[in-house]
Amino acid sequence: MAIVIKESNCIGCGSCVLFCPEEALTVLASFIAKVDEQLCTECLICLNCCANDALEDT
Amino acid sequence: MLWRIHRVKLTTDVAIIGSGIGGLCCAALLANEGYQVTILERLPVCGGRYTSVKYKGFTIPTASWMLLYGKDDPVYQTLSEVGANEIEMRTAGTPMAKYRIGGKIYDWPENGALKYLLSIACEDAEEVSRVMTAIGQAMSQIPSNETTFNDWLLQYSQNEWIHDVFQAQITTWCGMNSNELPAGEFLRTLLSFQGKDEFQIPRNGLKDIIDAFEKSIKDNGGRILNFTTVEEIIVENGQVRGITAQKDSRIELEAKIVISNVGPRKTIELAGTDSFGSEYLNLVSERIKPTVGMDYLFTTNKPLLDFPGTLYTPDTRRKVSWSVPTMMWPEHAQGGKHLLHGFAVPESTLDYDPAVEQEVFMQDLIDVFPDFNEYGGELLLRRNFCGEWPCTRSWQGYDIEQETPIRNLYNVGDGVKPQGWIVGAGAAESGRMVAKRIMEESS
Repeated sequence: MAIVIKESNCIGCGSCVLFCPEEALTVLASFIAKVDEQLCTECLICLNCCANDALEDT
Repeated sequence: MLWRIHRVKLTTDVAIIGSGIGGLCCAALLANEGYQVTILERLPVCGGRYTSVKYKGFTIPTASWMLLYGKDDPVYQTLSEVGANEIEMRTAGTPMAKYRIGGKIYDWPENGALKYLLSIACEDAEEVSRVMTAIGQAMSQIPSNETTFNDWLLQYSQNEWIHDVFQAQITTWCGMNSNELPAGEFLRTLLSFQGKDEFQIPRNGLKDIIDAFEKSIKDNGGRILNFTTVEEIIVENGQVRGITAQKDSRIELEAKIVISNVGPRKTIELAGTDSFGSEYLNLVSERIKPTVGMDYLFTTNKPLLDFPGTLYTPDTRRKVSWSVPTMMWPEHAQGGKHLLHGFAVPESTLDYDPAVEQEVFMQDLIDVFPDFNEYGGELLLRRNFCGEWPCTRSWQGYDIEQETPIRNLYNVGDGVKPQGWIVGAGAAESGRMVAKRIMEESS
């Protein structure tokens, strides 16, 4: 199980970054979000936060 | 296998999808008048792009930063009307803004600011006078929205610096370029600032505003359901009946009125295209396009500006607005650090490469703040406001009406701003208009 960024959907708006309680997400210079798997607890809040359907729980 | 579907049936007078500032203004006014309101919000917090959160110990706006018109802002007016306006706020004072033109920084004077700045940008006094006269006339006879502001201004000046001064303002106010912004809307926006209070920022950012709205709505019997995703707007015979949503269980909410604060496109998706005529579908498809912006937050060891207002840089590659919010509220940072905020609009908001825009922005950053690295400058957060998390859901001047073809279904927010109202203030005003309309219809 892991949170995966769907790169074709991610626009780098950063909303997932701000609402992640573990601060496990960042926006890269390519304006694609990245998950730090060490910090991620898979609480799935980011899935609900993303208005562009750019995250999935695999 | 035995299993059962968990289902909760609720009723309400008004269901509000999304808790952005338009939805909250509308909800607060209606709840204050005795309507039962139920807000459904997919995020863990309310406010959408109009609040602030803690991130790595810093107070960061989700998008909007301030009450644009201070105590004259429709957001503050709404809180006043429902008796929830005890908010500790600060303003930038004087100067409220500075401009960097030709590498030199000039204070925004309290009076005659536009003429003063244009005179710095252009040595030809006659040309400046021509532009000022045209602006003055256009304020009493607003030009058509069919012409862009860039084309309108070209009639009076071809001076690049004059154009850049206006572009810097348009970037910050509208998240657009002057060759995209309708001329009429620029003039209406200019007028909207006349005689208004200066911008203000609460102690904990806009979260203080959102907290006040939530408290008022709940005190008036309203419900706010976070972590709740609306799945469908139920329409029968051209009339809205309620919504279905998913929280821990499936929610079936019967409602007399449904207000969507998630944008006209999403409203159509939730209600189903079959519920709307082709004319309305075409209107939304043609007009509702988001404004975009490249937004950066940096931390530094010392403040990179010496005042709490906004520095506009018309002389950079992109016309950037900069601020050091910790000059106003040191509490917005931790460990004695400072924040630097920069906001720019790509050269074309319809077609741009965010990575290229970032390179350009970083060059502008070092040009304006050569001490950035010496001051320990580090990137805290980069954002590309666009798509479903845009600057605004609609280009300024392209907004549609709040009413929809479906009876008792309304849109509020920054896709349906009334003319001349920008960003959060425009979203708030749309919510106020819908609340007023509902009250009038039921009286």
